[in-house]
Amino acid sequence: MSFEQEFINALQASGLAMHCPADLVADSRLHRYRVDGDKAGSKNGWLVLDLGFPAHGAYGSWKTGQSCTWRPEQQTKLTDEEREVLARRAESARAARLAEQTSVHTSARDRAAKLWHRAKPAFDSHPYLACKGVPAYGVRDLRGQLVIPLRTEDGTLHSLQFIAADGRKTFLTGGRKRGCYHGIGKPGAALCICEGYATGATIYQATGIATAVAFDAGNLLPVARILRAKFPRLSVVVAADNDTETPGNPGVTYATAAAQAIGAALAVPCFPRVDNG
Amino acid sequence: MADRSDFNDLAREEGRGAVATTIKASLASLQAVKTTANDSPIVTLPIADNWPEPVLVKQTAVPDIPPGLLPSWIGDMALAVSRSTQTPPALAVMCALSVLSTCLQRRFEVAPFGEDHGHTETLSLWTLTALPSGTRKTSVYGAMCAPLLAWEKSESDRLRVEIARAFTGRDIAKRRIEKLTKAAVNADAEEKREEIRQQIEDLKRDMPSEILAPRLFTGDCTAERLQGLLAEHGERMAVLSDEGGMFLIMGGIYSKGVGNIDVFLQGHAGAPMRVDRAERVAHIDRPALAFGMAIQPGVLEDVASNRRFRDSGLLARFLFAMPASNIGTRNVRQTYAVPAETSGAYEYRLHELLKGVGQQARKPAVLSMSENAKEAWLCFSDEIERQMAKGGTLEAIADWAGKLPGAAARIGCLFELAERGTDTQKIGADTMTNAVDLCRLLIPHAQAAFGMIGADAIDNDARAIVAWAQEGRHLTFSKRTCQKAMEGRFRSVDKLDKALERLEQSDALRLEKTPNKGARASTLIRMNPKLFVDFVRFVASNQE
Repeated sequence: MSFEQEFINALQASGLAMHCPADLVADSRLHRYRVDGDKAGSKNGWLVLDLGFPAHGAYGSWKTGQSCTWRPEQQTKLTDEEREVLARRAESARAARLAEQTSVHTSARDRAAKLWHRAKPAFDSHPYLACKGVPAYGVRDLRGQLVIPLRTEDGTLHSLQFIAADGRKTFLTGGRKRGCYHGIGKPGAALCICEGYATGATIYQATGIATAVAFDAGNLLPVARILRAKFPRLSVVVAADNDTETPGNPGVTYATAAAQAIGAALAVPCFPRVDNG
Repeated sequence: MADRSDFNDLAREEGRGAVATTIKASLASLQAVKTTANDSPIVTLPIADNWPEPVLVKQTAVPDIPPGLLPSWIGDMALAVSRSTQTPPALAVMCALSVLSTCLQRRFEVAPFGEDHGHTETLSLWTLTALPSGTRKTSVYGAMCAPLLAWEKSESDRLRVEIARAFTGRDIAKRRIEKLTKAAVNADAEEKREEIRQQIEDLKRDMPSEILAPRLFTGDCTAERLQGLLAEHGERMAVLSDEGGMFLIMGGIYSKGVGNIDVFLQGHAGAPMRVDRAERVAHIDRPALAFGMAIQPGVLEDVASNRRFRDSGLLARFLFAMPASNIGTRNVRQTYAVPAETSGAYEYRLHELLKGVGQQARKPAVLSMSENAKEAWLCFSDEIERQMAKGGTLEAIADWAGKLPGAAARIGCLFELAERGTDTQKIGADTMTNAVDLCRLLIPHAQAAFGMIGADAIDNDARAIVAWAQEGRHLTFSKRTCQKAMEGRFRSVDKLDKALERLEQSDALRLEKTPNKGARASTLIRMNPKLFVDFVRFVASNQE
């Protein structure tokens, strides 16, 4: 099996298979590609492949934040010199990736700002809000889509989440998500962190406790750490999604990790058992 | 139900109240809430369950010591004094134990297996209560020791004429002896000298014995003077004080840093004292020395820095009480005086117990235990013995715990005599059960005390770090941040490292290395979230 094929297999195994494997270029430079299954025109995947000796590569996704390195399975043991060369190249690839990531994020930030200004304040009558029974807290409406801002703790707008009338959610391509959140309410003595906007709005509505929407389970921990640093004296509750239907219950798993990392309380919604009989 | 996973779904199904309840319950208890299959909608799981409980010095929780365990009349007094002074009952209880011991030691002993067996315990008790300054220790000691002072004064008054007569008689005899001695030296004839020598012998023989005003206790005296006091007052003496000056003397404040503590140790055990020094001679066959002290926790820490005190078993002889201070929670408007009948009964019963106290030491009366009392005592002794084994809960303070069954026997005997009078001969089962219950309560107090006693400078540094982290809610921080924030205390990294290592061993924190490109890895400190639980609970309760 060629190194290229081995690399493509590694992409597939990581869930980041190329939509068009023929586009693979092994020139030690960073390339973006469409991940198989993503919408046409998107380029959320990235890869770097160097087939010189020793062969090595790296790949990941801007969308999920995933980042992996690759080495051929049958490679002979490296000498110290080769290891040093490899480390230098990996470092250079990492720097290129960071530069590219910064460029991607900057570009997305500019687009997010433009779209945000173009959007109008959303009304509670928006179909998604009406369906969920929550009001609009700092969100906007852009051509029928609910627009939720993703900001860092200093208030900088980095990206946007779009929620269609039917509940379909998308993010601004290339926008930064890690560590960004949407804040609802002003923190008093306590603070909640949850995954989705509707959840956050519901908690704020029900309790009056300021809530940060982290957008997905994987982002709970980064947001929790940032908010703990920003509000060290607040008591924090991480409100988990109880994904009982999903193997491993990622909602509770990630929320527990976030709560434990910052010494927060964990709240999990409990539903009455449904009697199918 | 296709989608029932988040709080929005819960609000739509159960209403917003269910959301508020879940979030606030979680916030209030800082515990996780998890779905359960049964009817109970909420199951709580402890937060930070991947962290063990931190074990920090001074964290041992101590129970109250209820006055109800004491004999009725003395328990009533302890309770009333505690109420009147708004002090923890433990202070009055410990003082009461020392007062009882002061009254009865040396005249009575207890033989758990019967007098024939040979094993006897004296009734000397050493109690030490640690409370911060300003907690009204003096008031409690004043009230509890007042009958002893009154007894000393009344005895002194009663014996005043006899004392004066004896003093004068002795003084005259001494002067006559001096004069006769000179005359004998200057005598010309041997017959005359022999006649004078005979007169001197007669004078010495007929000289009245020295009579001293009886003393039950002292507050501050040197080891040498204590030997004198023991010899003068029927081989018994007590040190009752609400100050820690006695420890300074034991530590050698008057003897170049090396105090004589043998007299104290022998006084607790009832071991014979033989002092043959150039200036003084003291032979005391069965000394009995009681201690009742109330000192500041800081003084106790200083005492602990003297290694001899621990190694010699001096500290192991004390029964400790480490009640929590109630400063800041006292009701300044509350006025409660000790009822006259309570203090009257207390004084009367104590004076009854003091009947028979004389200047001359006599053979002590020995009390035995009833079969049930002995069984209760043996069960307790066995329980303590098992806990002192390797890995047992009392292994670390085995020197103290080893003396606890003996203390239980002593306390049982004191209780019996206090309740039933000095004519009693056997200790009953109920009395011994009370004594054993009291001793069980003293165990956590001793653990707290020895936790403080064992504390060293590193522990103090470690506590300072925890206090800083708790105050600023620093759950995660770098070593550099910590050192910077506590610059005054940690001038060197070594000192900080030692304190952090101690805290890591106590499960109070975890140290993680964070790699830095081209530089040394930095140390990240993660505090045990369980150290912050109280704060979060406090915030949550304020929200309700």
